[in-house]
Amino acid sequence: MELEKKIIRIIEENIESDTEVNLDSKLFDDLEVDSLGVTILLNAFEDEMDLEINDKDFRDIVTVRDIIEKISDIRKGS
Amino acid sequence: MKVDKSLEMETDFNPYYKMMNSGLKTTVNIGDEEYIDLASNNYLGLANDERIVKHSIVALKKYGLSMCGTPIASGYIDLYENVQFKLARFVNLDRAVLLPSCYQANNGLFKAITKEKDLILIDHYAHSSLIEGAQATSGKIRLFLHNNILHLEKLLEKREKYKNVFIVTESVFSTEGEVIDINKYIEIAKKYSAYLVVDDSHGIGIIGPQGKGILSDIKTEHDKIIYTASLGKGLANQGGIIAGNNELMEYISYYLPQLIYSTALVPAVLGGIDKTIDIITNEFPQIKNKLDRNSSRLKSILKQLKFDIVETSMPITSIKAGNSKNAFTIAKNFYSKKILTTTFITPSVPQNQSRIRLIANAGLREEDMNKLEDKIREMVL
Repeated sequence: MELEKKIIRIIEENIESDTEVNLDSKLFDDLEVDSLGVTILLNAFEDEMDLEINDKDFRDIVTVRDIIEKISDIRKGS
Repeated sequence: MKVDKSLEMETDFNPYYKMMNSGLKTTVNIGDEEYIDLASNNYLGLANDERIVKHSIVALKKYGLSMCGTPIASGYIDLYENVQFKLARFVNLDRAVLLPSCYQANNGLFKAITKEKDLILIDHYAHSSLIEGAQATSGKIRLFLHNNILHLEKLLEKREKYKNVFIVTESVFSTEGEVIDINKYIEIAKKYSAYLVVDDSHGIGIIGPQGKGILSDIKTEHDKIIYTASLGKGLANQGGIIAGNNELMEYISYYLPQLIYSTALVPAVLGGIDKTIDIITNEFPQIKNKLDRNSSRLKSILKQLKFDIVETSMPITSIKAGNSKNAFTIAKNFYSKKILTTTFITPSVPQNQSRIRLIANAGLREEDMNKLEDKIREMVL
């Protein structure tokens, strides 16, 4: 899916870790993304996908798949 | 609202708020016991220097305890102005303003100088005072990956959408002693016509050929540089500064609430800063030599004993401690040997990247370092 590829690319470009990013990658455990790191990602999604993101909607995200689902919901809602 | 005491209970130790009943000398007193100070930011060992104390007393006797007013009102004495100019020259900028702390300086700076159409780009690991300060504005904030110029430049590609852009970082990231390449940041700020805001709190008095901080060796035409620093570390005193070009500093002197609504630094503090700058100017090579020697020796001891320390050229020794419980345990071990250290756990650092920071200041004599070595070796046995 195009959306999945785009989100994975944005994640890869905005994290410090060199670990391969896939749908099941866990942000904290696998990709070493801390809370400020999540902020960096959410900002990148906003800027590159022209979305308005509420941080609170992403509080429970664990995996890349979770992010994709949330962003899909946001896109459907907008 | 309750403090989470679970770590304290698990380890039977709390590394914070240790109450001292002495000043910072080679040792500090906690209760009846003497502890070797590796915790404070008294890098140059000047916190109890007799000459500085004497100069503070002279100012205290001349001006009294306080001017009981903000600098814009009754707090602006001749000594205040002299110290501001002296500090500006010291850090190689046109003009400086003095505040009660660097935390206040960083907190208030962006509110005073940014507007809604501005962009503030901050290093992911920047001090909370800078991040909070930026969050208090209506400008757009974006974090860039720690000390990652490529990622920063990617964010700067959208620069045209904004009126003013501010790149915000620290010269020395104090939990690990990482020093930025200031020339690269100035270059990128110039390329995108951005302001560069650099907090030199762990650099002033410590780095640069004469201890004059991160900008001391720089020759640049880029005048959009805003410098902040704490005067409570290398300069062993109190207060914070913001420094930059004349026009911007004049603006800040009228429009920064944290400056114009706070009681001015007291004369005794100003007297101390005044003398400290003279001492650093005249004696830096000797002081730096002692600082580097003590720091190198401490790092060497810890490496020999297989502590996992962060590599840095700065006189900061940072032990990688893993999770918070491990950090408390290591700090407790040092404390049991009468060695004071600083413990960094989440959220001050990323999860599982706790650090125990040690600064072997220039005031520690050879006999203190010998005692320190013995104690650390005992700790490991």
